[in-house]
Formats: sequence, C-alpha cells, structure tokens
Amino acid sequence: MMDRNLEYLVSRYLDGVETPEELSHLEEQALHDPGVCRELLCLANQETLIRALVRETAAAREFAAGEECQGRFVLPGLWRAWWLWGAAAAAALVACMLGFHVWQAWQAAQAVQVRVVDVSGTVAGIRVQGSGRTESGVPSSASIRIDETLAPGVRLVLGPDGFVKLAYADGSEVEVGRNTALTLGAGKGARLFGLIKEWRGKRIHLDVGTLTAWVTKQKPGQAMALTMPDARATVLGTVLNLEVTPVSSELRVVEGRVELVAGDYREVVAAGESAVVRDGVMTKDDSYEDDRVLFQDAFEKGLGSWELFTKQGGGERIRTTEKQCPNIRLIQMKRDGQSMTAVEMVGREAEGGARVGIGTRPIAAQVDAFSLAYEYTCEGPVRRAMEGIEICDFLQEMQPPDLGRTRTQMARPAGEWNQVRWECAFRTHAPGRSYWDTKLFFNGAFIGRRAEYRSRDAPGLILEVIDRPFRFANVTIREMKRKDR
Amino acid sequence: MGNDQHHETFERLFLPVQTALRGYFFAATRDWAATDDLFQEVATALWRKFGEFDASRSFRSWALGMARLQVLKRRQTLARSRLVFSDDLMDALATVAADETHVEDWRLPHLAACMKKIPTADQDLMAMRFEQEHSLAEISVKVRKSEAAVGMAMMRIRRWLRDCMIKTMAMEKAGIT
Repeated sequence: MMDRNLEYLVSRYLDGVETPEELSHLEEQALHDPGVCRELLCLANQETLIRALVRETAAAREFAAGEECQGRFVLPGLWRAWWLWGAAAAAALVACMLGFHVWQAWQAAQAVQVRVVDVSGTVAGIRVQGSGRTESGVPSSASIRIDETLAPGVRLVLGPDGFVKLAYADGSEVEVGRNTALTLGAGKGARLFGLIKEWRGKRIHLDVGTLTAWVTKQKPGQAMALTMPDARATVLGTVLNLEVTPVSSELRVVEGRVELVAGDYREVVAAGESAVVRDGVMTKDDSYEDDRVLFQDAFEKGLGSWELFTKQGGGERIRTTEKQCPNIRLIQMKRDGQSMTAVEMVGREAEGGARVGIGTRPIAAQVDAFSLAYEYTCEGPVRRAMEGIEICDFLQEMQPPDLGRTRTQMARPAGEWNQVRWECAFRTHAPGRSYWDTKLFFNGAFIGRRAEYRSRDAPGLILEVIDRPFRFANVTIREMKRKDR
Repeated sequence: MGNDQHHETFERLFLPVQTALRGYFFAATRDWAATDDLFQEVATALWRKFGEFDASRSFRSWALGMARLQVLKRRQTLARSRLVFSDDLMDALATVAADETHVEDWRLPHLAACMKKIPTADQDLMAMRFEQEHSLAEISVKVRKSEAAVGMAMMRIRRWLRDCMIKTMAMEKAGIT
C-alpha cells in the first residue's frame, strides 16, 4: 500500500499543482527508491486508462444521442387535445414530485450504508435490532468480508488483531482499529408531511476502541455524528481520530472543525486540537512547555565515547523477556558519571554494523511528559538502513510513532543536518494503564501526532536506530510541564 | 517472414506495452497532447526498426528503451514546465517500467468495471478532468469547492480505483467473477 504522503505528492504532481519543493522531494525520493518510481508509473498508467475510458464513454454517449434523434417521431393530431396534455402534465408533475422525494429518501438511505473496503484479523459483524438481539432473539454474528455492504444497525466487534476500513458512497472513509466495538447507525427524518420516512445523516456509536474518519463535506441537516458513551461529536467534513477507552473518550481533529458535546460541556475542536472527556469532565488540548534538562549531549565524540557497563567498571546488559525481539537487547552505558539506556541489535541484524539507539523508557517512567530534540545526518538514505530491521512486538512498541512517515522524510541528502523533535506526554488513568500522546516535528514542521492507550505504566521510545553512516548531534531530553490554563 | 505475419507479430508484442508506454510518457510530461505525440513517434520508430529487433530479448525493454530516447530527444522542444524530471530519473522510470513484474498491467475492462462503482459526483469530476481536460483550478470554480478539496477528491478517487483494480485482477486470477 502506498504511503499517504507519497500518494499525495504523486497525485499533486499528476494534477500539475506541485510546488518546486514538492517536485524536488518527489524526484529525490524516486531516484533513491525504485518503489517510488513504481508508484508513479502505476498511477500514470491508471491516468492514461481513465482518460481512454472517459473519452470512449463520452463518444458512445454522443453516438447514442445521435441515434435517438434520428429515431424520434411525432404523433399527428394529438396536439389538439390540449386538456389531455394538461392533465398528463399535472400527473407527471405530481409523479415527478413524489418520485423526487422517494429518490431523495433512497439516496439518503444509500448515503448511510457503508462498504467494507479492507478487512484483516478478527472482525465480527452482528446485526442488532431492538435491544441488541435479532428478531429471532438470538444474536447472530458473522465474519465481515471485503465489498460487503453494511446497513445501519450492524455492530462491529474487532479482536486484538482486527482492522477494518469502511467507505461511504460520498467518499467518506472510516478506519477502525483493534479491540474496538462500534455500531453503525443513521439519523431519522421524514418527507412529504411524514408520508415518506428516511434516514438522515450518518451515525457511528463507538463503545470502545479507536477509529479514524475522513469525512467529506456533508449536506446541510445531514451532519455525521460520532457518539461515545460520554460524548457526541458532530462532523460536517473533516479528518479526525477518535478513541474511547473504558474511562475516557478522546477526539483529535486533523482537518476542519468538530463540535464535541458531553453533558453540559460544549467545545468546538479545530484542526490540530484535541479534547478529552473523562469522568464527565471535558478538557480541551493539554499543552506543555519545556522545563528542566534531563539529558544533554552534543555527541561531538560520537556514541563511542559512551562506555558499556559490561566493560571494566561493572554493570550488565538488561535482560529482555520472552516476548521481546531475540536480536535486540537493552544495554546500560555510562560516561562522566551520566548513564543512559541504549538498544543494541545483535545476531543477524548486526552484520551490517553495530546499530544502537537511546532508550527513553527510564525517563518516561519518571516524568509525565518530555521533549526530545536531536539533529542527525547520514551518508545515504536512512530508509535503506532501516528496512532490514525485523519488526517484532518489542521494536514496534518502542519505535517512534509514525515511523513510516518519518522514513519518507529521512531520505535526505548526505551531510545535511536534520532537526527532529518529539513531544511525549503520558497520562495515567488507572494503575498499570496509561495513555500516551506523541507529536513529531521534523525540521521545525509538524509531521504528525499519535496517541495510544497502553496497559504499561512506562512506555518506551527509541530515540533512533542508527547505522554506521549515521551521526547524532545535540541530543537534549527535557521534562515538560503543563502550561497554566 | 511475410509482411502480414511480420505485422501480426509486431501487433502481438506491441499491444500489451501500450499502456506502459503511454504511462511513461504521461509521467514524464503530464501533457496529453505531448503524450499522444510521443506515443505516435515511438510506435512509428518501433515499427520502422522492428526488423532489427532481437526476438530473444524482451520487447517491453526494447520499447521502453526507445521511449526513453524519444523523451530525451524531445527534451529541447518540450516546454520546460512540461518536462520537469532529470535525465537520471527518466532513465530510472524507464528501467522500472521495462520490468513488467514491477508495474501492474492495468487493463481497460478492469477500470471500466471499477468506474461504474464510483459515485456520480466523482464520475462528473473525472469527466471534467479527463474528458474536458479542465485544470484543478477550473474544476474548483465549477463545483464551488477549493482547489485543495478537488485535489484531495482526485487523490481519493485515484486510490479507490487503484485498490479496486488490484482487487478485480486478483479475483480474475483466482477465477472468481
């Protein structure tokens, strides 16, 4: 599947609206990665076929119109029966009106149906009626399949490995993450003095879990509503992430604006903002600022200046558990009385050179939020160096959020320093459970934000996995304090 | 080889690479007129030099190599804004396009089946873009949306069609209709 950033770039290029910076970025990526060339060619091939098809269809339409004109005939004498024409016109008008309303109601019904575009892992669909049971009184569930159309009233339950992507007819899309339960629904309305009942507006009730929605502009009076156990978000057209945990609901808006209502609270959440509802209280976007320095190193002497604890002076490698990667282990390093936790790749992965990274897990365990800023340069595209790494649960847990997107950004010319800044905030809801929220800035620009609910009290994050041609500089980790509101 | 047979062999080899050639030219120029011209020129050149073609080699590679030369030859005459990629990248694109295992060979029937499934509003958008050849700015005025919104819509349609074609081809291969 194509990376969204790359897809956007290629699409803009094909439409001829790319900026010079976007063009040079695309060219640079394509030169370094045949995969990018492949994507560009695939879409260009698709464009040529679309053009051929659209033109073919237009030609067929014109031909059919011409045929129809030639075959037209007029009934002589009928024009005299004007009253007949009048009655027919009135009947046609009434039929048109009725047809129009029926058609509109039918369109509204189509608009709230979703098609399953992608599905993986355990995803069960349960048709819910009345009190959550089918007419026969027994809940029936079945696996959801690609291309299946789901009508309002279907409840989706996703397992730990579940993923499903849904698409509405108007182009709106919803991606549902693992361990999620939601019910598809629709608002109700009526036409022609209540004669015609119709569905009006998309509805999704999220009981627990996560979803991301790309909502196209909705018709007036037919706004999409996303409801949670403790809040309701009204969407007219935007991109948003929604997460419901057993104790809270969180809304993050990427584009556009969303109105969030919870009890007496009402907030309009704009792009880049988020709001959390917990214990019936709504809090809009916690913001933090840098505070005291926790770790700082210019790395002028490189990583080699840090000494392994296992060398003379004592100390040992931190043991990893069974679940973790067999080829990755945590090690303790020290220098000038300071110590840091690093990640060492061993075995097959280490053949291309030692790869090390700084672990922030111990820092995360001590503070609520921290920022991590560093610079790096590389002799070649880092993407290549990182592709060989085997991803297992352990690494996935510790890898930087949005790594896929970061990889794209990392393909930079040799010798050029890049500034990276992570802002990581942790909130604890209950013992052993926490919610972490990370923002990534690359060369000053905001790249992305990811929040995740975890059942661990000290989530970890690798600063970077590096190879020989890769160099750090000016690494600073600071504690962050919540700004006074 | 008789002339008819010679022609038949050429057609048999040339037909499957048409989309790849057009796609390569369009990726290079983003101009339908230039794409059509280049396609015409390379088709003529391929036919003229078909006698020299070594049948033990891949016709696709040969055709794409010729296409690359044609683009480089036309670089001077094509407006700068139309041909923005470097020679190196044009080489890289030709190399990737020459390998049929790299680029999916879409077929018109796959696309036709998928186009029927997209909403009418999106079909109208496609007609404006591909039939009337309007720019995004022109479309945005017509549909009263921002240029960025039209661009995003185009991206989504492209993605949807691509996913649909992949699925249709996979089902076709698996014998599911």
